[in-house]
Amino acid sequence: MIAAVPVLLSRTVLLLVAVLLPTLFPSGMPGRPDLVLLVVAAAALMHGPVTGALVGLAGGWLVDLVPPGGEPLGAGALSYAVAGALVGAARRWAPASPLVPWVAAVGGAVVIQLVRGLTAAAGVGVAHPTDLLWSVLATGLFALLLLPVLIGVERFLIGRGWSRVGRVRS
Amino acid sequence: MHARRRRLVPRLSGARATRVLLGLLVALTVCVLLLDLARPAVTAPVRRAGATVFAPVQSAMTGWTDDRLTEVTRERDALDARVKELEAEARTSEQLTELERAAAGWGGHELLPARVVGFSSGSTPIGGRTVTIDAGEAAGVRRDQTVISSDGLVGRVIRTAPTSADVVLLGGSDVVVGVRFGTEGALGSVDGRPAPGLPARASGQLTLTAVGDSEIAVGDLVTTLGSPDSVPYVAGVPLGTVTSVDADRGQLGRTAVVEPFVDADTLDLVAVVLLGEEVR
Repeated sequence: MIAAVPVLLSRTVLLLVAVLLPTLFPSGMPGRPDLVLLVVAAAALMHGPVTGALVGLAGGWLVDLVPPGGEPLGAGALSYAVAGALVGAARRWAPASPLVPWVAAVGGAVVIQLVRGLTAAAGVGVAHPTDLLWSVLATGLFALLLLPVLIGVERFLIGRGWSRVGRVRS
Repeated sequence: MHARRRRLVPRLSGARATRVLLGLLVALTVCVLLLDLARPAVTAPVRRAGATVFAPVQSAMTGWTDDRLTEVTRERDALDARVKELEAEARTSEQLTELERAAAGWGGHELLPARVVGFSSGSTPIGGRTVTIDAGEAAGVRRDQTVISSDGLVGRVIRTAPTSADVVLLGGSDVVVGVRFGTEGALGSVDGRPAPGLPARASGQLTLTAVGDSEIAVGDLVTTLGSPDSVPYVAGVPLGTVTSVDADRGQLGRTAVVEPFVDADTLDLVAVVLLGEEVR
């Protein structure tokens, strides 16, 4: 249990930075990259769907709670948990190509924006399709740079023996 | 007895324990979600606690707040408000109409300067347009107060915390503003979501629906009509201009596209209209 503390701590710090960083850059780009999803995707790609869903749940709760937050409370947590689990499911194909992690992360971003678009189409909330598309594009672009770094952090944690690699179930 | 209990713990360790933990947390989240939908008042303290913890961090990250800058901005906003109010008054007296029934314009109230410190995430399941400002209950901000910038109407306060407040912007979900437009001051309403059957709007554009059969012309200035007792919107705040008029489809009120004056993506310094504190 004590061995898990550095992992929990580092992921908490990463998620907090990902949630709070957009405060520094309020304007400019048409779409905001989803940094929380990238942290979730890195953990999910190294440890599988269950860990991915747990980190997604934590990240989503932060998104919901950090002002101005999301409506209703907990919806963001569930959608990030689903995205984390789906990205984690792509882990078994990771050895096939170095592009798989990137494709999986973009897939996660698509899932999250798709939920947003579907609720807006159902008449709850406002979301313009162009905004959703820009957000996915921005996330994909940032994933090129940040995903290798975040996966490197996860590898470092495994290398120090602070976190174990879960077995791939076939 | 003791040994048996010890054995139970390792059996639940590893991948299985993680799975049980995930199940519990997801169940808890679903419970909170349902509670928030059914009784928002119950979960309000949770949000409040989050705002109390994170708002000072966001405020610090947004950067120093120069007292002189704040003071000068307040003066500018107050003078700007006064000029716009006088212009509106001149227009009213010129037309000799009695349409301007709202008693208090926004120039008569005290303006509290605030800085935008947080933007709503673009990835929450329910799309919305909300920002956080660094002024809260301690500074006198209350729910349903109007928020403006030097350009025009920004939105209204929906939630307050001790040192921060959340503002729902124009074009957010369920934001409908009563407005006057054109030289005659015809009545209408502005909505972020177009009514069914209208052509799709670009991001950020609003829909004006006229009340009755008043004509809308491209270039018409749209200002707020004002709510009873100025809650949640004070009267006479510029909102946007009409950029195109939709084709007449035989509906009750004509509709048009409104381009708001305030760009939601580059909001920085805003002002909260403090009601009941006349400075004149």
